[in-house]
Amino acid sequence: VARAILLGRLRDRRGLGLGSVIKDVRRGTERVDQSTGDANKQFQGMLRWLDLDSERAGQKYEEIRRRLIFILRCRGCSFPDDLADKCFDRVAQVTSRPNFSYEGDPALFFYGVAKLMVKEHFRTKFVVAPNLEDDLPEMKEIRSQCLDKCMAKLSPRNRELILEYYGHVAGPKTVYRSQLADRLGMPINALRIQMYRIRELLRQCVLQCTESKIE
Amino acid sequence: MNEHSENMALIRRYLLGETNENEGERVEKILLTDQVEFENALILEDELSDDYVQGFLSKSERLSFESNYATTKERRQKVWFARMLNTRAAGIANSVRERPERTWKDALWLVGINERFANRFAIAYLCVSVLMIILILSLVHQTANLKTELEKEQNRGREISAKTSDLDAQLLDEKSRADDLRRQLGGHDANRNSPNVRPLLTASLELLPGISRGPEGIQVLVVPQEVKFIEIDLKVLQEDYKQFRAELYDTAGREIAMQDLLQPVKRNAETVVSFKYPSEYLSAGGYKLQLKVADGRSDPILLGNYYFRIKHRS
Repeated sequence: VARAILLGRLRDRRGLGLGSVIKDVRRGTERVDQSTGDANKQFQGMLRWLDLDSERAGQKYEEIRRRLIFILRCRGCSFPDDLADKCFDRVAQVTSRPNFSYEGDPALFFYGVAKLMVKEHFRTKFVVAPNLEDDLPEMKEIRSQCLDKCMAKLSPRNRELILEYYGHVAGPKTVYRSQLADRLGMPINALRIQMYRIRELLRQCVLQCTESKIE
Repeated sequence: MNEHSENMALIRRYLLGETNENEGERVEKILLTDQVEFENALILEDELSDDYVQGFLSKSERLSFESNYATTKERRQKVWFARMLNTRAAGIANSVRERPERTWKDALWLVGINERFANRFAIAYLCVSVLMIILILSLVHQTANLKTELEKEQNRGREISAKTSDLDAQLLDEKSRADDLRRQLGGHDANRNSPNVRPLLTASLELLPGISRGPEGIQVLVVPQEVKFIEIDLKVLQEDYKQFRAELYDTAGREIAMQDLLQPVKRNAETVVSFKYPSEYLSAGGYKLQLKVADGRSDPILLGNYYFRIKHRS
């Protein structure tokens, strides 16, 4: 029932007496017990709902959160992490109700809640127009220094690999990268995944370095 | 086009904000339930940033990207990071390509991705390995030879030291023989006449005291021409004296010589005082030696008379 409500397929006007549930879902935070103890209890209840094994429940929680953040980012939310956490809080409240029942992939339940929250979010927030122009020269210089520093932290093989992967300057990029994958003896998709991981390491390193220099 | 490729294209449009509501929900459900497609979406998100900064997006895609994609802080970070990384990598690639061929190949060798060079390296490595093996075998052979030579030299050294020991032993024997001969020469007259004894420089005689015999009973000392000294050993019966005096007289009673402060010596369990005198001052004839005790405090005490005759032999 909740999934149907959250997916917008079930409406109060159909006379099913679900008004209070819909209200809970949409304005859950208004009825939340503010005490930390209750919030923790609700959160633990939600984890048990995800999986009775606490370790597997934690992994599922992390994975769903990661994907929700990605979706919220794609939907243009300015702070997708915060919104995802609020989504979890709200689901925790709902799942703690004694009469709660849901069948199906829990990820989709979260998705339904998140969709509603996105609508709320854009009712109250303004979307900031993106500024993709280059930063100040000082900022560019700091980032450039950080990139050098973080490149040096990579293993020699990863460093050479990322420079070659992104060092393509002429000709079709897909052909170039296919040839590179052939030379390395791996499928192109495996190469893409590997490059993504190296790049993420490098990006996180540069971000941390930049923040520490600004501070 | 298979399902995966369709999904890829759909996700790419979704990331650019080009999907309608139904398509968007479909993509979102795929992302939530399909691990592989979610990983692909993450990679595509980065690749879109790359395509944007490298100018590979179409005009419409570029517009969509700028209006829909880069709306969050994290995505804007991805864009500047992509710009920085691509610029840096392209700059390094260009600088490497401008360098000599060998340098570029060296860089590739570091990551092991240039097979041709790797093959050459393998051949070179093989050659070096073979040379090393030959060198090691040669060294082992030389070491074995040196060991053999060393053993030979050690054997020779042992033989030489054994010979040296023998020679030392012979030398000691010769020395002891020489000592014996010297003693014999200083002792009995009979030894002096031995044909095996070398020419004498000293002629010696051993006398007892107080014996007075006729001219035929007196001991005769034969003095060859080459003898320079005579030595008369006077046997002393009293052993408690430390210094003696010997006085030499001829048959007419004239004193010919006197030697004082003579020390007694032990020879063959007997106490002997030696009187030594140049033979050239003694002509052939009879002589008498008087042995006295001279302690320097009182007059000398006569202990005994010793008689002998000298006979020169040319």
